[in-house]
Amino acid sequence: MPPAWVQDNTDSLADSDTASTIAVTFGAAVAAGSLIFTWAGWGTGDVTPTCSDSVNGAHTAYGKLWDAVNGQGHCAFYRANTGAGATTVTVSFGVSKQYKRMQIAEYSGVTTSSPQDGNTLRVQSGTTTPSSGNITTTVNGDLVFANIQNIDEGGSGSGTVTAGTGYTEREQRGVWTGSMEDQVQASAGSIDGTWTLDAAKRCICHIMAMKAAPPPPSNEIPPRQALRPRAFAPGLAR
Amino acid sequence: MARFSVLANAVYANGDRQIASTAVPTNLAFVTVYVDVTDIAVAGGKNSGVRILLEFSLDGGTNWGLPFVGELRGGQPGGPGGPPSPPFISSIGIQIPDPLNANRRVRGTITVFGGPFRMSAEAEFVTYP
Repeated sequence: MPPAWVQDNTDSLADSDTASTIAVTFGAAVAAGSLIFTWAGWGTGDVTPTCSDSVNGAHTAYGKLWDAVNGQGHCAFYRANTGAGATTVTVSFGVSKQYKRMQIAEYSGVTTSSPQDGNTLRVQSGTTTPSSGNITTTVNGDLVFANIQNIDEGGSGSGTVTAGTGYTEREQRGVWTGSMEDQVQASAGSIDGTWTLDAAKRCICHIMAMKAAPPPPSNEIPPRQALRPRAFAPGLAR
Repeated sequence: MARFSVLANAVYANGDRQIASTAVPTNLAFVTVYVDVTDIAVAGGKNSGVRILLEFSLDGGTNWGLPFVGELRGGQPGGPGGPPSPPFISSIGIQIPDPLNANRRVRGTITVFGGPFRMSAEAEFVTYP
Protein backbone atom coordinates (compact mmCIF):
# COMPACT_ATOMS: atom_id res chain seq x y z
CA MET A 1 0.00 0.00 0.00
CA PRO A 2 1.32 3.50 -0.80
CA PRO A 3 1.77 6.02 2.00
CA ALA A 4 -1.51 7.40 3.32
CA TRP A 5 -2.71 9.93 5.87
CA VAL A 6 -4.34 8.32 8.91
CA GLN A 7 -5.13 11.12 11.38
CA ASP A 8 -3.88 14.45 12.75
CA ASN A 9 -4.41 16.88 15.58
CA THR A 10 -3.29 20.31 16.74
CA ASP A 11 -2.79 22.54 19.75
CA SER A 12 -2.18 26.26 20.08
CA LEU A 13 -1.67 27.40 23.64
CA ALA A 14 -2.48 30.90 24.77
CA ASP A 15 0.32 33.28 23.80
CA SER A 16 0.82 34.07 27.48
CA ASP A 17 1.30 30.43 28.52
CA THR A 18 4.80 30.06 29.93
CA ALA A 19 5.14 26.27 30.22
CA SER A 20 8.32 24.68 28.86
CA THR A 21 6.40 22.02 26.92
CA ILE A 22 3.46 21.60 24.59
CA ALA A 23 1.67 18.29 23.97
CA VAL A 24 -0.98 16.86 21.65
CA THR A 25 -2.79 13.50 21.85
CA PHE A 26 -4.04 11.68 18.77
CA GLY A 27 -7.80 11.17 18.73
CA ALA A 28 -7.42 7.46 18.03
CA ALA A 29 -4.76 4.92 18.86
CA VAL A 30 -1.74 5.02 16.57
CA ALA A 31 -1.18 1.82 14.60
CA ALA A 32 1.96 -0.29 14.71
CA GLY A 33 4.43 0.56 11.95
CA SER A 34 3.14 4.08 11.27
CA LEU A 35 5.11 7.28 10.93
CA ILE A 36 4.38 10.33 13.07
CA PHE A 37 5.22 13.85 11.91
CA THR A 38 5.32 16.67 14.44
CA TRP A 39 6.04 20.36 14.07
CA ALA A 40 6.01 23.02 16.75
CA GLY A 41 6.56 26.73 17.00
CA TRP A 42 7.59 28.98 19.86
CA GLY A 43 8.73 32.50 20.75
CA THR A 44 10.86 34.32 23.30
CA GLY A 45 14.34 33.07 22.43
CA ASP A 46 16.29 30.45 20.47
CA VAL A 47 16.54 26.92 21.93
CA THR A 48 17.01 23.36 20.63
CA PRO A 49 13.67 21.61 21.28
CA THR A 50 13.25 17.86 21.71
CA CYS A 51 10.26 15.63 21.02
CA SER A 52 9.01 12.32 22.39
CA ASP A 53 5.79 10.41 22.72
CA SER A 54 4.13 8.26 25.33
CA VAL A 55 4.58 4.99 23.39
CA ASN A 56 7.77 5.27 21.36
CA GLY A 57 10.07 7.61 23.26
CA ALA A 58 12.32 10.04 21.39
CA HIS A 59 11.60 11.36 17.91
CA THR A 60 14.20 12.39 15.31
CA ALA A 61 14.65 16.14 14.80
CA TYR A 62 14.61 16.88 11.08
CA GLY A 63 14.97 20.60 11.19
CA LYS A 64 14.94 23.67 13.40
CA LEU A 65 14.88 27.32 12.41
CA TRP A 66 14.99 30.39 14.64
CA ASP A 67 13.93 33.63 12.95
CA ALA A 68 15.48 36.35 15.07
CA VAL A 69 13.82 39.07 12.98
CA ASN A 70 10.32 38.08 14.15
CA GLY A 71 11.44 36.31 17.33
CA GLN A 72 9.87 32.93 16.58
CA GLY A 73 11.14 29.42 16.03
CA HIS A 74 10.10 26.31 14.16
CA CYS A 75 11.08 22.71 14.80
CA ALA A 76 9.99 19.44 13.21
CA PHE A 77 10.34 15.78 14.09
CA TYR A 78 9.42 12.31 12.91
CA ARG A 79 9.15 8.88 14.44
CA ALA A 80 9.12 5.90 12.09
CA ASN A 81 7.90 2.38 12.82
CA THR A 82 5.67 3.34 15.72
CA GLY A 83 4.37 1.00 18.35
CA ALA A 84 0.60 0.71 18.67
CA GLY A 85 -1.44 2.54 21.26
CA ALA A 86 -2.93 5.78 22.53
CA THR A 87 -0.18 8.32 21.84
CA THR A 88 0.55 11.74 23.27
CA VAL A 89 3.37 13.65 21.59
CA THR A 90 5.27 16.22 23.65
CA VAL A 91 7.71 18.88 22.47
CA SER A 92 10.04 20.19 25.16
CA PHE A 93 11.81 23.54 24.96
CA GLY A 94 13.91 23.10 28.09
CA VAL A 95 12.93 26.47 29.49
CA SER A 96 9.76 28.54 29.75
CA LYS A 97 8.45 29.64 26.36
CA GLN A 98 5.47 31.61 25.06
CA TYR A 99 3.64 31.52 21.70
CA LYS A 100 3.69 27.73 21.50
CA ARG A 101 1.93 25.90 18.64
CA MET A 102 2.06 22.25 17.60
CA GLN A 103 0.56 19.87 15.03
CA ILE A 104 0.92 16.11 14.61
CA ALA A 105 0.02 13.67 11.86
CA GLU A 106 0.09 9.90 11.46
CA TYR A 107 0.82 8.18 8.13
CA SER A 108 0.85 4.55 7.08
CA GLY A 109 2.85 2.97 4.30
CA VAL A 110 6.22 4.63 5.01
CA THR A 111 9.37 2.56 5.23
CA THR A 112 10.34 1.82 8.81
CA SER A 113 14.11 2.36 8.55
CA SER A 114 16.08 5.37 7.22
CA PRO A 115 13.02 6.91 5.53
CA GLN A 116 14.39 10.41 4.71
CA ASP A 117 14.59 11.41 1.04
CA GLY A 118 14.85 15.22 1.08
CA ASN A 119 14.53 18.05 3.58
CA THR A 120 14.53 21.84 3.34
CA LEU A 121 12.99 24.77 5.20
CA ARG A 122 13.07 28.52 4.94
CA VAL A 123 11.66 31.87 5.97
CA GLN A 124 9.31 33.52 3.50
CA SER A 125 8.25 37.14 3.74
CA GLY A 126 6.08 39.54 1.80
CA THR A 127 4.35 37.05 -0.48
CA THR A 128 0.90 35.47 -0.70
CA THR A 129 2.41 32.38 -2.36
CA PRO A 130 5.12 31.17 0.00
CA SER A 131 7.05 28.00 -0.70
CA SER A 132 9.52 25.75 1.03
CA GLY A 133 12.16 25.59 -1.68
CA ASN A 134 12.75 22.49 -3.76
CA ILE A 135 13.92 19.07 -2.72
CA THR A 136 14.91 16.40 -5.21
CA THR A 137 13.67 12.96 -4.26
CA THR A 138 15.48 9.82 -5.35
CA VAL A 139 12.79 7.13 -5.45
CA ASN A 140 9.24 6.90 -6.78
CA GLY A 141 6.21 6.94 -4.52
CA ASP A 142 7.55 9.11 -1.67
CA LEU A 143 5.27 10.62 0.92
CA VAL A 144 5.89 14.37 0.62
CA PHE A 145 4.95 16.23 3.77
CA ALA A 146 5.07 20.01 4.06
CA ASN A 147 4.07 22.45 6.72
CA ILE A 148 3.79 26.21 7.05
CA GLN A 149 4.00 28.21 10.25
CA ASN A 150 2.58 31.71 10.44
CA ILE A 151 5.01 33.90 12.37
CA ASP A 152 3.09 37.10 11.61
CA GLU A 153 -0.19 36.50 13.44
CA GLY A 154 -0.63 40.22 13.99
CA GLY A 155 -0.39 40.96 10.27
CA SER A 156 -3.16 41.75 7.83
CA GLY A 157 -5.67 39.33 6.31
CA SER A 158 -8.33 37.09 7.80
CA GLY A 159 -6.00 34.18 8.25
CA THR A 160 -6.66 31.62 5.58
CA VAL A 161 -4.18 29.33 3.90
CA THR A 162 -4.82 27.07 0.92
CA ALA A 163 -2.77 24.02 0.10
CA GLY A 164 -0.67 24.05 -3.05
CA THR A 165 -1.57 22.26 -6.27
CA GLY A 166 -1.39 18.51 -5.84
CA TYR A 167 -1.42 18.66 -2.04
CA THR A 168 -4.14 17.77 0.43
CA GLU A 169 -4.42 20.20 3.32
CA ARG A 170 -4.46 18.88 6.89
CA GLU A 171 -5.38 20.45 10.18
CA GLN A 172 -6.00 24.14 9.78
CA ARG A 173 -8.16 25.56 12.53
CA GLY A 174 -9.49 29.06 13.15
CA VAL A 175 -7.07 31.91 12.72
CA TRP A 176 -4.26 29.91 11.36
CA THR A 177 -1.00 29.51 13.18
CA GLY A 178 0.09 26.77 10.84
CA SER A 179 -1.03 24.11 8.45
CA MET A 180 0.14 20.80 7.03
CA GLU A 181 -0.21 19.33 3.56
CA ASP A 182 0.85 16.11 1.89
CA GLN A 183 0.91 14.18 -1.36
CA VAL A 184 2.36 10.97 -2.72
CA GLN A 185 4.88 11.81 -5.44
CA ALA A 186 4.45 9.24 -8.20
CA SER A 187 7.83 9.79 -9.83
CA ALA A 188 11.05 10.89 -8.16
CA GLY A 189 12.29 14.38 -8.92
CA SER A 190 12.08 17.99 -7.84
CA ILE A 191 9.16 19.12 -5.68
CA ASP A 192 8.27 22.20 -3.64
CA GLY A 193 5.87 22.79 -0.76
CA THR A 194 3.53 25.59 -1.81
CA TRP A 195 0.59 27.50 -0.36
CA THR A 196 -1.67 30.47 -1.11
CA LEU A 197 -2.40 32.98 1.64
CA ASP A 198 -5.15 35.59 1.83
CA ALA A 199 -2.54 38.22 2.64
CA ALA A 200 1.23 38.38 2.62
CA LYS A 201 2.67 37.14 5.89
CA ARG A 202 6.08 36.24 7.24
CA CYS A 203 6.13 32.49 7.66
CA ILE A 204 8.38 29.44 7.88
CA CYS A 205 7.88 26.73 5.24
CA HIS A 206 9.26 23.20 5.50
CA ILE A 207 9.16 20.18 3.17
CA MET A 208 10.38 16.65 3.70
CA ALA A 209 10.05 13.44 1.71
CA MET A 210 9.79 9.96 3.18
CA LYS A 211 10.33 6.75 1.25
CA ALA A 212 7.36 4.43 0.81
CA ALA A 213 7.41 1.01 2.43
CA PRO A 214 8.53 -1.77 0.09
CA PRO A 215 5.65 -3.81 -1.30
CA PRO A 216 4.74 -6.87 0.77
CA PRO A 217 5.82 -10.29 -0.46
CA SER A 218 3.61 -11.40 -3.30
CA ASN A 219 1.02 -14.13 -2.68
CA GLU A 220 1.08 -15.15 -6.31
CA ILE A 221 2.04 -18.70 -7.09
CA PRO A 222 5.23 -18.57 -9.12
CA PRO A 223 4.82 -19.71 -12.70
CA ARG A 224 5.33 -23.42 -13.08
CA GLN A 225 8.68 -24.39 -14.38
CA ALA A 226 8.59 -25.93 -17.78
CA LEU A 227 8.49 -29.67 -17.49
CA ARG A 228 11.68 -31.26 -18.52
CA PRO A 229 11.31 -34.12 -20.94
CA ARG A 230 11.72 -37.34 -19.07
CA ALA A 231 14.84 -39.21 -19.73
CA PHE A 232 14.03 -42.67 -20.88
CA ALA A 233 15.69 -45.38 -18.90
CA PRO A 234 18.03 -47.36 -21.04
CA GLY A 235 16.59 -50.59 -22.21
CA LEU A 236 13.00 -49.56 -21.90
CA ALA A 237 10.92 -49.43 -24.96
CA ARG A 238 8.99 -46.32 -25.61
CA MET B 1 31.15 22.09 22.68
CA ALA B 2 31.69 25.80 22.21
CA ARG B 3 30.55 27.61 19.10
CA PHE B 4 33.18 28.01 16.41
CA SER B 5 33.38 30.45 13.52
CA VAL B 6 32.51 29.30 10.01
CA LEU B 7 32.33 32.74 8.40
CA ALA B 8 34.15 35.75 9.84
CA ASN B 9 32.30 38.99 10.42
CA ALA B 10 32.61 40.83 7.09
CA VAL B 11 30.62 42.27 4.22
CA TYR B 12 29.72 39.49 1.78
CA ALA B 13 28.61 39.81 -1.83
CA ASN B 14 26.18 37.35 -3.40
CA GLY B 15 27.52 33.84 -3.95
CA ASP B 16 28.69 30.66 -2.25
CA ARG B 17 31.10 30.19 0.66
CA GLN B 18 32.14 26.71 1.68
CA ILE B 19 31.92 25.28 5.18
CA ALA B 20 34.93 22.99 5.29
CA SER B 21 34.49 19.33 6.15
CA THR B 22 34.53 19.12 9.95
CA ALA B 23 34.61 16.10 12.26
CA VAL B 24 31.57 15.65 14.47
CA PRO B 25 32.65 14.71 18.01
CA THR B 26 31.22 11.45 19.28
CA ASN B 27 28.21 11.68 21.57
CA LEU B 28 27.21 15.03 20.04
CA ALA B 29 24.17 14.70 17.85
CA PHE B 30 22.78 18.11 16.88
CA VAL B 31 24.41 20.83 14.82
CA THR B 32 23.22 24.43 14.74
CA VAL B 33 24.48 27.17 12.44
CA TYR B 34 23.95 30.66 13.84
CA VAL B 35 23.95 33.64 11.47
CA ASP B 36 24.08 37.28 12.53
CA VAL B 37 21.53 38.94 10.25
CA THR B 38 21.43 42.28 12.10
CA ASP B 39 22.58 44.20 9.01
CA ILE B 40 19.51 43.05 7.03
CA ALA B 41 17.02 43.20 9.92
CA VAL B 42 15.57 46.40 8.48
CA ALA B 43 12.61 47.41 6.33
CA GLY B 44 13.37 46.19 2.84
CA GLY B 45 15.71 43.50 4.12
CA LYS B 46 13.25 40.68 3.43
CA ASN B 47 14.79 40.05 0.03
CA SER B 48 18.22 39.47 1.52
CA GLY B 49 19.43 36.40 3.35
CA VAL B 50 21.53 33.27 3.44
CA ARG B 51 20.84 29.72 2.30
CA ILE B 52 22.74 27.04 4.22
CA LEU B 53 23.29 23.56 2.82
CA LEU B 54 24.59 20.91 5.22
CA GLU B 55 25.63 17.38 4.22
CA PHE B 56 26.77 14.56 6.43
CA SER B 57 29.18 11.64 6.13
CA LEU B 58 29.18 8.59 8.37
CA ASP B 59 32.39 7.11 6.92
CA GLY B 60 35.04 9.76 7.34
CA GLY B 61 34.13 11.73 4.22
CA THR B 62 33.99 9.04 1.54
CA ASN B 63 30.23 9.23 1.06
CA TRP B 64 28.00 12.21 1.72
CA GLY B 65 24.23 12.35 2.13
CA LEU B 66 21.26 13.50 4.23
CA PRO B 67 21.29 16.95 2.63
CA PHE B 68 19.52 19.62 4.64
CA VAL B 69 18.86 23.17 3.46
CA GLY B 70 17.78 26.06 5.66
CA GLU B 71 17.21 29.61 4.50
CA LEU B 72 17.20 32.71 6.70
CA ARG B 73 16.04 36.19 5.74
CA GLY B 74 16.17 39.75 6.93
CA GLY B 75 13.22 42.12 7.13
CA GLN B 76 11.48 44.60 9.38
CA PRO B 77 11.73 43.29 12.97
CA GLY B 78 8.33 42.47 14.44
CA GLY B 79 6.42 39.50 15.73
CA PRO B 80 4.28 38.74 18.75
CA GLY B 81 5.07 40.69 21.87
CA GLY B 82 6.73 43.47 19.89
CA PRO B 83 9.96 43.64 17.93
CA PRO B 84 12.90 41.74 19.45
CA SER B 85 16.10 43.57 20.27
CA PRO B 86 19.36 43.38 18.32
CA PRO B 87 21.65 41.63 17.68
CA PHE B 88 19.51 39.45 15.42
CA ILE B 89 21.05 35.96 15.49
CA SER B 90 18.96 33.54 13.43
CA SER B 91 19.76 29.84 13.24
CA ILE B 92 19.08 26.55 11.54
CA GLY B 93 19.86 23.12 12.97
CA ILE B 94 19.35 19.41 12.55
CA GLN B 95 19.98 16.14 14.35
CA ILE B 96 23.00 14.08 13.25
CA PRO B 97 22.49 10.29 13.32
CA ASP B 98 24.74 7.63 14.81
CA PRO B 99 26.21 9.55 17.80
CA LEU B 100 28.74 6.83 18.74
CA ASN B 101 30.26 6.79 15.24
CA ALA B 102 33.72 8.40 15.33
CA ASN B 103 33.76 8.82 11.53
CA ARG B 104 31.00 11.39 11.18
CA ARG B 105 31.72 14.62 9.34
CA VAL B 106 29.69 17.63 8.24
CA ARG B 107 30.34 20.06 5.40
CA GLY B 108 28.27 22.73 3.78
CA THR B 109 27.75 25.80 1.66
CA ILE B 110 26.48 29.21 2.70
CA THR B 111 24.91 31.13 -0.17
CA VAL B 112 24.38 34.87 0.20
CA PHE B 113 21.52 36.43 -1.76
CA GLY B 114 20.31 40.03 -1.87
CA GLY B 115 23.77 41.18 -0.88
CA PRO B 116 26.13 42.69 -0.21
CA PHE B 117 25.62 42.88 3.55
CA ARG B 118 27.59 42.36 6.72
CA MET B 119 27.16 39.02 8.46
CA SER B 120 28.96 36.30 10.35
CA ALA B 121 28.23 32.62 11.01
CA GLU B 122 29.10 30.22 13.79
CA ALA B 123 28.36 26.53 14.32
CA GLU B 124 27.86 24.41 17.42
CA PHE B 125 27.55 20.68 18.14
CA VAL B 126 25.57 19.64 21.21
CA THR B 127 24.33 16.45 22.83
CA TYR B 128 20.84 15.44 21.73
CA PRO B 129 18.23 14.85 22.93
